[in-house]
Amino acid sequence: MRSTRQTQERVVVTGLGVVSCLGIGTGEFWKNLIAGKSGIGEVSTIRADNLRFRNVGEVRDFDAAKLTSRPEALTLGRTSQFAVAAALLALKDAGLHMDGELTGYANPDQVGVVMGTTTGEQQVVERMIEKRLCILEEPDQNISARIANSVISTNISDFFGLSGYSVVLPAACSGGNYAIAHAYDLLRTGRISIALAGGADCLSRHFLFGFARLGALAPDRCRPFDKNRKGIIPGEGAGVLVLETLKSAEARKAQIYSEVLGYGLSSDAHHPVAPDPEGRGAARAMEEAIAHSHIAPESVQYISAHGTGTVISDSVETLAIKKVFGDYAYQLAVSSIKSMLGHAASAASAIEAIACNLAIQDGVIPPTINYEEQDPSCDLDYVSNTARHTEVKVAMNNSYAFLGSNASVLFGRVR
Amino acid sequence: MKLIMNKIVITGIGTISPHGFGKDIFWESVQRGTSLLSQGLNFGVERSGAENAALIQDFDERLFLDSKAVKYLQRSEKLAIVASKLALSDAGLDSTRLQDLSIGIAIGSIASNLRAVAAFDHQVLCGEANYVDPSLVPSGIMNSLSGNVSINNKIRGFHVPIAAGEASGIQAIQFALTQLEAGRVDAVLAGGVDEIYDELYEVSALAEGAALLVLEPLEQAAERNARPYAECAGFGFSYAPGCHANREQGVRSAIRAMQQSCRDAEIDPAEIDLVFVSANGSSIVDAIEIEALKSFFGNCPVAPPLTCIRTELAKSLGASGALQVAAAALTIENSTRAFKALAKTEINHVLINSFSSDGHMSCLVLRRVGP
Repeated sequence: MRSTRQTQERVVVTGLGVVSCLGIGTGEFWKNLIAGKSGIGEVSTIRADNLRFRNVGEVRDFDAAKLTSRPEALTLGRTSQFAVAAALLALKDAGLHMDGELTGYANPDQVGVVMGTTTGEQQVVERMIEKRLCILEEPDQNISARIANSVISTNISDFFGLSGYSVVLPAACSGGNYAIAHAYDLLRTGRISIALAGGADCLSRHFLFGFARLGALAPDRCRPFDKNRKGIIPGEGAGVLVLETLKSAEARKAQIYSEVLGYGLSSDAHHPVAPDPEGRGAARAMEEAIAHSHIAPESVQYISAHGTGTVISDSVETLAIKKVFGDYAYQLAVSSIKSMLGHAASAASAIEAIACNLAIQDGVIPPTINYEEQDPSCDLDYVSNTARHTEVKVAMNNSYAFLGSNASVLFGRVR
Repeated sequence: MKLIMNKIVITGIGTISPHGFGKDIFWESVQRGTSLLSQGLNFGVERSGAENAALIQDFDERLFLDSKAVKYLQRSEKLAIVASKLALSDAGLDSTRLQDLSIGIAIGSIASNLRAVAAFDHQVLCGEANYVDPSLVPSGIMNSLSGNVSINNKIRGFHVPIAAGEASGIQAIQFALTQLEAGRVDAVLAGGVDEIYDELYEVSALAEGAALLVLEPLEQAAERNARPYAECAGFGFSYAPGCHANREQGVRSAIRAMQQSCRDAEIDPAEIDLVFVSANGSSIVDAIEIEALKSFFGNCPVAPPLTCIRTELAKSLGASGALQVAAAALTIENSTRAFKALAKTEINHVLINSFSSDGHMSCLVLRRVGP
């Protein structure tokens, strides 16, 4: 494989914005995360008649009006509201949005938006199906404008008047990591100078009933890597990171959470819903991330695992980590915050990227809660139940999606 | 900074469209310029505002797919897989060769998951959640197009869906170019696929289609004696926030995308020999494109001729940009006078615009590969 690089520009993270069942904004989110709190409760925002297992990571009492006075935000679908809210929080955190507008550091022509999603505005789609479009009196020329997956990024671009670049990568659960990877590449071409990258998803019948139909829904709580794990808990939310070149960040004296060291992408080419049981694709994504970051595997201290809580997926991820890191795997701290948030699909990989950045900044690794009994096939250090205070110089964020899509991103303290 | 530093070429074309099955029929039909719209088709038109549609005829999926795939996959997934096989075959990449290369997949689509989502939710709402076809679960997610291409061809590089309105197909090519430039993969299958969805209707005509192209570095293509149709010489992108209400912003963004693509290709606009216009079909976006073209080529001694396969194809949604790129690449290779309004005998540079109703402005410059 060729290794031509476009530029040697270093890319850093300067702003974080999160909307989750554990809090809106990094302060509340991180406080609850490292306290090991669970954000799981019974579903209330979607019609889920006859759904046997009803626990989800729902963003409760979300009110976009609390974040912005602009009325157009309230007309957006739920996923877009999450996305816009997270983008606003991230821009503010980065010092790029003040008093209701972009600051002078953010030239709209140079700001790109790259978002991941799994099902986009699925609640809007499901309402449409409920109402059976054929009864509408007049055809609606703008239906595609409301349900197309691209609206997750265009709604952010429209809201802030950003004209650099806008795209959605609906790469399912790997979407957030894919978005960060693509933003990283675009920044290194110099075609944009700031990127908003992340993921957003909302709860939906497709998500809940879909996983139930596959027998992958947990009855009560998510127990990643635990011997008695029984499946996923669906979740929702949004995570947005502000990325820019190191030069740009230093020039405007921005806070820097971490550097994006590199990423790896791969496919299992195996099965629509089951991962490759030998973990080859997952391992390849991690190996590529390490290779392109030009670091040794032993430089990594923490892995934010995909860790969904399903029997197969957690075992395969553990196997893949061992393939990549060898004996060093047993010195790694590996945790899954899905134990507290549920699985927020594309938003999950973005929110987990945010957790990696906060772990690097604060020297705290969030726990895997609900961990009670070791599974012989999952025998690594999963930071069980209690957060750990320890230096984190390099963190890896893993994500694996349906159709065998794997993505790993490495974040490191700026050298 | 150039987006494209190295020579990336198109070596394989796989198209399935109302024009026909495969690139040769596609090229013949495009040159003839016949309308492919049919009226009164039974695809749920009674529930939509669309009165005309261009459908893929005589698509026998059993020629390429096993019985399981025929039974369980959605139409758009089948189109994607078959288009990928046509493109890979055209590029001379058989199944053995595929294992030697790291190949990625990027497929643009507006809403390829919609049919599966609707079918799934219908059953759930009718109280049949326990009996719904489980294959509708992964098919209800947009990465099922690229994922099924990956599984069917055993391709283990990245696979990613791209959503950028009608510019999705061409944005997939842009994603491919960034990956190839970074040396992440040896080749990429990139393009767009969309079918007509009952729930997604507009008052203008609709079309379905699939176009996937094999992109790879010129050096590698030469090493394996693959024929390059054209070089992807320059790419430009921009976004026009609120373009429906702010036409000036739309024009500015469109011009910027065209400028970027020519700068990337290191050519002057006067060197463009032919433009494949987006011809979005929306009165606002069409007006934006016309004004942008006039401004962009205003200083040229002779403005290049404009053409568009969509006058025959109507709106093929996420596939449209990729189909235009396929037609442009074939134009360069053939460089004949068969196209309407051609002013030159040899086509060296073609600009392809892909402007979407929601504000995505993307442009690609293709260049003839020199001796």
